[in-house]
Amino acid sequence: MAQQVARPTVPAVPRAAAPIEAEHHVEHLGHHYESLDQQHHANMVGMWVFLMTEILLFGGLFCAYFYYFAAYHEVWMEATRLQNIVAGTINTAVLIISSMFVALAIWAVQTNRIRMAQILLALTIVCGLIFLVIKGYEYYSHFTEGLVPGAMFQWEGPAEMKRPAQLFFWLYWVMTGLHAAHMVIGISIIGFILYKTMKRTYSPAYFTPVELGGLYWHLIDIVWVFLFPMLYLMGGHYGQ
Amino acid sequence: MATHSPETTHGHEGGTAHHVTSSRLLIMTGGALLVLTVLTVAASFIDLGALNDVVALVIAITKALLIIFIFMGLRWSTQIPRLLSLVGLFMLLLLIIATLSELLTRVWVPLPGH
Repeated sequence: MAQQVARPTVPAVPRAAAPIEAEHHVEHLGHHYESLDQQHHANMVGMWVFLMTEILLFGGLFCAYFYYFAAYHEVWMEATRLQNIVAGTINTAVLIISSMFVALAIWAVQTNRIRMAQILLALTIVCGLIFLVIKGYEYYSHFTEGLVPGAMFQWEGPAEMKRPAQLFFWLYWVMTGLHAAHMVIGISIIGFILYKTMKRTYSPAYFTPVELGGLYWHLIDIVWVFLFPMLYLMGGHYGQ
Repeated sequence: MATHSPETTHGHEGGTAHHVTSSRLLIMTGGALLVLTVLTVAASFIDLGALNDVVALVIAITKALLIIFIFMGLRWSTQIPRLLSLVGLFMLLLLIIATLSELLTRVWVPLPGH
C-alpha cells in the first residue's frame, strides 16, 4: 500500500521539469512512443495481427468452399461453367496492377517522389473502381439469369443438381460480396492516404500510414488471387 | 531496424532506417503476377483431370507468396510479422483440414444429393 501511494509523486517531478515541447519536436510521433522507428514497428505488428484476423474471417468461407467443393465436385463443374471467365480474368489483372501501383506509391514516398506517389495512389483508386464496375456488371448478369440462391433460383443443368448448385452460388455471392466490401473500404483508405499525400504529410522520414494502407490493399489482392481460380476456374474443367 | 542490403537502406535523422524496395523489382513482380494469371487461365483449358485443380491452387499460392514477400515486404521485415503470418497460415490450414476430415470420415449418413 505504501508503495502505491508513494509512486505517483515520483515521476511527477521530472515530468513537470522536462520540457514537454521537446516530446513534440518529432512530428507525427505519438506521445506513447520513444521514436518514429519504435512507432513504425508497433504499427506494423498491429497491422499484421489485424491481417491475420482477416485471413481467418475469409478462412471460414474458404473452409466452407473446400468442403462443398469436395462433396459436390460434379455439381461444381456445371455451376463454374456459368461464370464469366473473361470478366474474372480482367478483374484479376486489374487488381494485380493496382497492387503494383500501391507498392510503387510507397517506393515513391520513400524516395521523395511525392508528385509521382499522388499519381500512383490515384491510379490505384481508378483500378479499384474499374474492378467494382466489372464486378457490378457480373452481379447484374447473374441476377438477371436467376443465379441467386433461394426460391427464385433458375437452373438449366441436371435437375438433381439444382439444390447443391445453390451452394456454389451462395458461396459465390458471399465470398465476392465480402471481398467487394473490403474493396470499398480499401478505396476509402487509399483515398484518405492520397488526400494526406496532397497535403504533403508524408515524406521519406514518415510514411507509416502509406505502408499500412498498402498492406490492407495487398491483402484484398491476395484474397482475390484465391477467389478467382476457386470461383471461375477450379471444377470448371474447360478442357474436357 | 536491421536491414541487410546497403544499397536499399535509407537512414533518417530521428526517423526510420527502413528498407526501400526498388521500383524495378516491384514492376518485375507485377509482370510475373500477370504472366501467372495468363498461365492459370490457359492451364484451365487443358484437360489434366484432377490435376487441373492442383495446378490452379499451386499457381494461386505462388502468386500469394510473391505478393506477401515482395509487395508486402515480408522478405525484409522483422521477425514478428513473419511469425504472425506463419501463425495465420497454421490456423487457416488447421481450420480447413480439420473440417475436411469430417467429410472423409463420413460413413454414417450421406450428404443430400449423394
